[in-house]
Amino acid sequence: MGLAWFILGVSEARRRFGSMCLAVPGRVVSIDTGVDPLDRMGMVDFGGVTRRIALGLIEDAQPGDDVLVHAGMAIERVQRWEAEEVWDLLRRWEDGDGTDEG
Amino acid sequence: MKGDWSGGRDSGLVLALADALGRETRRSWRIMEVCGGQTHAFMRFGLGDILPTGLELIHGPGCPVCVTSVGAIDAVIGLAARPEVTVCTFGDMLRVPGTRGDLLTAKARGGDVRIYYSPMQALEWARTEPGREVMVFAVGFETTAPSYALLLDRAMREGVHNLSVLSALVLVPPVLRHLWKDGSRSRVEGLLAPGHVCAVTGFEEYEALAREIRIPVAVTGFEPVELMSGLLACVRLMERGESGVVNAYPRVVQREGNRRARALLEDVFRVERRYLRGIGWIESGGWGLSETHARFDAQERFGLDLCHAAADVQCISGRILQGLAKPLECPVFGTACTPERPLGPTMVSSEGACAAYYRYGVPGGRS
Repeated sequence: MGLAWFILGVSEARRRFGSMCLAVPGRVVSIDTGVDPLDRMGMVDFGGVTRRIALGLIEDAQPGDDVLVHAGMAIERVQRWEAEEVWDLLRRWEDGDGTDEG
Repeated sequence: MKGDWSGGRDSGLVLALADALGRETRRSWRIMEVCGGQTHAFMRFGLGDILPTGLELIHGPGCPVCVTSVGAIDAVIGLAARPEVTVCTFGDMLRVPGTRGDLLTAKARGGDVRIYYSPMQALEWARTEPGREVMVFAVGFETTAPSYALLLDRAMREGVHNLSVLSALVLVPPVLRHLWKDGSRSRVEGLLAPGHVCAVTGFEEYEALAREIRIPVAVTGFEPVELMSGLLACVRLMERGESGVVNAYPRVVQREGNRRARALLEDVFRVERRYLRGIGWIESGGWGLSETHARFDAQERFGLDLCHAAADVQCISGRILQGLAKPLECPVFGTACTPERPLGPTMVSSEGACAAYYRYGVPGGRS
């Protein structure tokens, strides 16, 4: 009984949180104040579902910022999708401005 | 779709990219997608069906659960049997077979084995249950490392004594370097670099790698548009005969990565050699605890001696993780080995190639 419940728990966790490299974009709704910047937590909205997320790695995080969240922690800022930008990028690569090296 | 999250799945854009890819791919190429999350995304979205015939994807080693050594798993199973110890880790880790059984079995036998969504939960458990030894089995690549680093940093600042970490953390560039060391073993002509690893570390090290092994690299995301533009960027470099790095995930990844994360990682961890399941020892292949945080090291605290000798007789996951074999070459794929009864790690993990083949079928409908 306990085992069955536990297995259900595992598959549920996998379904919801997926793989370990999975990172999900969301928008910062609110941020705790009065703590060490590294320990700052805040509520992040993932398309309707909000969760408490560690924001310490995002410099000067503000409500309204979009962040990429992995394992309960925002690891980087993320820009929303603009189709035009994808085409711009492709044109840039086409023009031979290939590598970002150097 | 302007300013939306769903733009990465825009079918018009994906098909246009597939078109461009078809036009520009003039010969056969083999490209490795390093990250298992990308393997799954390619199959989940059926992108194999719209790739040019000459383009073959080789699945890479980027599955943290898969490369975690049997020795480490056995040691953690041993710890779970101690009445005073709480073992905690990601859910994916529980069904990965060790030498004898897995962590799920250890839990069924009464061991206190807990799953977290974020490693930070372990700190909460350590605080609220001061009588227990809370041991974190730290599995992951550079993407996940910052959350363990923050955990350790806070535990240190708060003077938490009943928390420890067994680090199985792996660094991707040394693993790739290792796979290329014996040039003849490598069949790969281009790389899709793992976008979320690079979000943390940046891609300067991949530029060095591209120079060393003379290979084109595209830093690539996980949505269909991003996967296709990563492939296109990589193919363009290959067709021009160039090596170097293209950032095909600029929405997230900056060249220098996340500086705060890198500073934290440098403080908490030090580079050490790491034994990878199915692959072997990798020099400078992992992160262990730095001198300043050594008192949280579970190996020291519990006197663990990790025995890395055991090999899986029936399982070919080691060859799969090195891009030398594909799941269908395994005689027991889908028969003796399934996600319900996995013989090896690549069938367990939601990032493992075998699990992807089992779940989504053969890519491109080809065998």
